[in-house]
Amino acid sequence: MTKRSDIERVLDLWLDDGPTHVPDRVFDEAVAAVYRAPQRSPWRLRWRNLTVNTRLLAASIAVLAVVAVVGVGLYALRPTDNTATTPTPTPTVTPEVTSAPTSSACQPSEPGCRGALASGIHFSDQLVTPLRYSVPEGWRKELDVPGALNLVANGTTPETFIAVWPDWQIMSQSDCANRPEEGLGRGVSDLVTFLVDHPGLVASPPEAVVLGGLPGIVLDIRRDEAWTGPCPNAVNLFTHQGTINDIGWQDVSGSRVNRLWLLDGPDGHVTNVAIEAPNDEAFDAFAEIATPVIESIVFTDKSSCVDGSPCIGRLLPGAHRTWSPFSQPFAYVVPDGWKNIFNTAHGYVVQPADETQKGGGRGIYVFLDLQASNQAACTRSSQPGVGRTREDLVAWLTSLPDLSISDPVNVEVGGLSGVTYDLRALGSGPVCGSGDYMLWFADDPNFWWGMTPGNPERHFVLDRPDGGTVFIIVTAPEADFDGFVEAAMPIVESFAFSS
Amino acid sequence: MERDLVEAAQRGDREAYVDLIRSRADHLYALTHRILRDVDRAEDAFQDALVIAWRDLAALRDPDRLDAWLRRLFVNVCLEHATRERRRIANLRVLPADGPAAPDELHGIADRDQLERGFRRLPPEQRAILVLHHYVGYAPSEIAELLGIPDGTARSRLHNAHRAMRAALDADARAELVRGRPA
Repeated sequence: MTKRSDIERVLDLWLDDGPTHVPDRVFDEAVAAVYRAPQRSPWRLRWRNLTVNTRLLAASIAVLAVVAVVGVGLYALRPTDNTATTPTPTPTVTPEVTSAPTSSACQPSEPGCRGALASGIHFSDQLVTPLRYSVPEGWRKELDVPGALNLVANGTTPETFIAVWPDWQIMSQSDCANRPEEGLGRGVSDLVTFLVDHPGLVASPPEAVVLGGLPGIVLDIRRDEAWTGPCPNAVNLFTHQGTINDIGWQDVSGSRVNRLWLLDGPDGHVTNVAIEAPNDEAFDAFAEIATPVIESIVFTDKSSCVDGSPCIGRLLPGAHRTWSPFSQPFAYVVPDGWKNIFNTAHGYVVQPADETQKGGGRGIYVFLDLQASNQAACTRSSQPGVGRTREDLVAWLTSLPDLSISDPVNVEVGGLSGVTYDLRALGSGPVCGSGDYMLWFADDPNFWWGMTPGNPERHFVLDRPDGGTVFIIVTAPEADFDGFVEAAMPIVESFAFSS
Repeated sequence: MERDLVEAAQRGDREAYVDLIRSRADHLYALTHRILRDVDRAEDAFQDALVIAWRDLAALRDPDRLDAWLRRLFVNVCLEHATRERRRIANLRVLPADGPAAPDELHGIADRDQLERGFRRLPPEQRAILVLHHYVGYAPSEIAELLGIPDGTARSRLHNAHRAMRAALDADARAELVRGRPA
């Protein structure tokens, strides 16, 4: 018998120690996911990296022909009862999860990227109705132009995809020409009425939904096999507006199945989010994996952003992360009711969704490499003699008059070490500038940070791995401070800085 | 009887699949947690692996090999998760003011924190091999079969993993001497 070395004995003991039971919650969630997931038949396992054609269609619209239809068919509505609910932040099934992530895949939040998508949050690039969405591994962005966004999953049947069409309208049905149907309104109710009443279509009963923050209707449509109307190959439904040159069509030819989320956009136009598939079988399989992606869509609200900064706006409950150019990336988790308003190289801000102040107010403010500002000049120049390390900045802060600072306590947040303390201005505080006590600024033209009397702050001052500091500032008016801190701390605790 | 359950699950019977998994869940979760060393990641990987196993169960040719097939699948999912960026973690904590806890039976070679740090420094593949050997109890030949690698390769990887773990502990000990204990 071989004598076991010290390291082997230690590993025997140490690895034996640890959890031996799976938490019930974890097991139950896994089982629930199993009940949502289809099972692959053996032949599908061979379908890897299948290239799926998209349908960018400007040139081909002229040859589009439509079969017209008469008659009534039966078409069962597929379950859509989850379409208005918030997405589950738990990781979802990945079509190709056992394969290594593609190193060249578009990274989460990487602007302007197309092709394979890394798992995580992505943004539309050119779509006139900007949105963000989450995908697991195994998805590709095939098309992102002002008039269309197409997402496909590896290994699915060709001509199966998610499409988003802004300003979706009905093509002229009398001659299948590329112009809107005359006399038809452009609201959701107009379009749904048209689809449901169209003799060449079989439509499921429309259901009200809210998707990505926009209200609308979801329904399934397909061509009635008996239709013999004027357009020979499909009932043309299309997107077109004068400012968008990317023409697409909603293809209902053959046995194609379409699920449409027709949403009232803030610009008064209808945005159509659709699942398309060539037949029922393909649709059923694809809908299982496409629905979570669709449910993760959030139409971004640019009005939430601090001027000059990109932002996400309203955050879906679940995991999020900062994106370029913020130079100390981190992931975090929020419950419902929060928004991101700011994302620059040195600043990232999360606020309650109902906070109306963009440049202040209740929020979690994350700043990088702050410096002490010149208290005599009340300008963005730096305070002479104050360094930039955590110790320098906290010591300087502690030395300021008319501030009450609790004893700093060592902490670790998201993998970074530092200290935390609470900060309150005494009386009116040592006000400088135009009513604000300007404490900090950064090498960033987009912001400075000033403490307002009556708005206590909880600071987490952390050391960046490569030098510099991370300031996490949780603040709210005095009357709300304790309650707000209680609500904000789970978010701060969820921070995970990238190494 | 169990073979019947496997075959039923392969035909799409979810209840049969859950029955099969229920009795194995604790072991598979323990395996996952020990490789990933992170509760959140382990939970995510466990759930992903269970769903993937369900989706691909039809690919299992020999129902009597379910356990080995599951272990291999779980190890692969762990390796895939280990390469992902940490998605979420709740790890805010006040650092202890009075130093680490008292030494236990592992004292003298390495304390638990050192082991944890050293183990986390290892590549995921080496962590998986150490867990399969020291926790599951697999011999190198069984690891080789499970991972689909030659027997000699498994032995050499296990040897290298031991060396890497020892080196990680040594490096940590040296750093501790330089850094000193926190106040």
